[in-house]
Amino acid sequence: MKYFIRKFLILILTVFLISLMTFVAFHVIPGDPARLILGTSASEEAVEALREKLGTNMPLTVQYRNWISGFLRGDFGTSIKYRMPVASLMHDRIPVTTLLGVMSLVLILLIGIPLGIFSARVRNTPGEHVLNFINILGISFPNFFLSIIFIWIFGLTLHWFTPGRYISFDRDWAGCLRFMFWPALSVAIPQTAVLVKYVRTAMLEQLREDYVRTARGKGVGETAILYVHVFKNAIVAVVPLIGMIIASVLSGSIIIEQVYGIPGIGKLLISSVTSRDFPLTQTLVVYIAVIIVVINFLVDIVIQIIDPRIRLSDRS
Amino acid sequence: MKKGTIEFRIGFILTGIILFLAILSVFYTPYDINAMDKTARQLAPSLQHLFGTDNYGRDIFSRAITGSRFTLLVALSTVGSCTVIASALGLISGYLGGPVDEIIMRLIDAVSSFPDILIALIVVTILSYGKYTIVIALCVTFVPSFTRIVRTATLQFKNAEFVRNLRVFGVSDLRILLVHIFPNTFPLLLSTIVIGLSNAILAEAAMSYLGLGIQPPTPSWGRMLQESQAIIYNAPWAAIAPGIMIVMTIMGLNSIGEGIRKRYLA
Repeated sequence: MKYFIRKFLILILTVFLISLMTFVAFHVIPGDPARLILGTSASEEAVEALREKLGTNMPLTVQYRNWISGFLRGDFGTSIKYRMPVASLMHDRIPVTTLLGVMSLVLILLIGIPLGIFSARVRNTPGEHVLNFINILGISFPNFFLSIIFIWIFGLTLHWFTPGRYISFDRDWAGCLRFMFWPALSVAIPQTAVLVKYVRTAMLEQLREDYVRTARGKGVGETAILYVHVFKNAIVAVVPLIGMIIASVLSGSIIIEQVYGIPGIGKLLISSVTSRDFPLTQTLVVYIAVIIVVINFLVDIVIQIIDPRIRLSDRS
Repeated sequence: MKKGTIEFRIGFILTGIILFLAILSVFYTPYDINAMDKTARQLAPSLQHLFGTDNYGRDIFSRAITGSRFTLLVALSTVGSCTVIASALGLISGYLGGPVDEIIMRLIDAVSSFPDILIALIVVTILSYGKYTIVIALCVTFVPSFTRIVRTATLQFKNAEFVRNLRVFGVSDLRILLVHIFPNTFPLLLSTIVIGLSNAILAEAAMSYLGLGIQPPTPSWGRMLQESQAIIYNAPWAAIAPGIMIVMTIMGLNSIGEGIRKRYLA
């Protein structure tokens, strides 16, 4: 229980630091955001009016307090470009990005784990080199290049989906999943390559353990050893990786949403950066960072529950 | 054959090709990289235009090799500046320990709780676009992981026999740190630098694809990919050429990194 409380306190502290650092980054910059937004040709009155609206004419501590208390009440500020509350802009986009993330994660686990086991099985055979090569390719292909290739081959040439035409889940769930499969695969492939390597290493480590020798001695077949005995232990070794994978999936989807024209959080974030919509960028950055920190916290808790031994090796 | 030789060979061949093309572009490109030609739009690869032409009739080969120069420059300056900052932080943090170490490491932890791309986006947002914005953005992104590695290596040697002897002889801390400990971190640092270069190239390409990296008219691989997307059906070579160059570079650098790891660190 002490462990959980400490982890929780660290979580709170990290979230506080994230909000503070983002706030500092966006406020202690040379120059005045109001002036930056309006440009040098704007009149002093217009700039002063925007300062008033953004609240940037108040002391920094007051600004931070207002911002945080707004955050806790669900008031994320107002977007300059869209002239709308940030919360309502996010409302429609969060499910889209969540769907993309979940689909990617499912694909990563569905392809990565069996392939990792398989590549442990074919160790020291020609198959190993083939798999290694595919793996290196997977890691080396930037996900946005992969997406463009997918759009060209599967979208424009084979017509398996219509590029650039996002179908909302509520209107046509089957069409939506068919469309989202490709961006999800683009996000998934580089991460899958990383997972395969990791699973393979974990499996090979397990194969050297005593219990494997015992199983072999009892006459258990090689396939059964791999898929039943070793697999269970290797999975435990992979769970800590989940947090990192989810973080990479979220980062990946920021770019991929742009490539496929998916109206999610990532696309909103990029457009906010391009149009210098500070309040929107600031909120989205904190939102994404906090999501990732919370997911990592949950992963830690899950690991703790399935394998309490890890507590002993946790020194941080 | 020594361990890692295959990786080194593949790595040096691939990065060698890219490096050669990048240097070549300084002295010679078949066409002016920004010359538009209405009569030569979206031409397929041929002897006149090795990689074909883009939507404006610009020669893709010329643009791709010039792009490699700018991408490599950004990656080198990013990793270079990052290595200097991170080495200083890591050495100080690891050697001094105590409250200094605690402060530096907690700051590093806080920065790295943001995903890389978010850090880069924040820096680009607050600095507004300039020539060096992308370098600063990527540098801030990479400093945490580099610092951790240098710190870990420093900790390893801090209490080693030879360092304790040096102290007995009255060698100054600064000298111990710079002359005796720092060189020992090189093998680990070198593989980190090589992998860092490959990550920097990927990140730069991604930022340029989003329009937040190298600014036009300077060609960059990421930007070329973004521009090619609209004409991908009619002129797929416009995307494939810069894409393959990125893949080759990443593969090359990763192979070298793997080679270093296998030979010197395993």
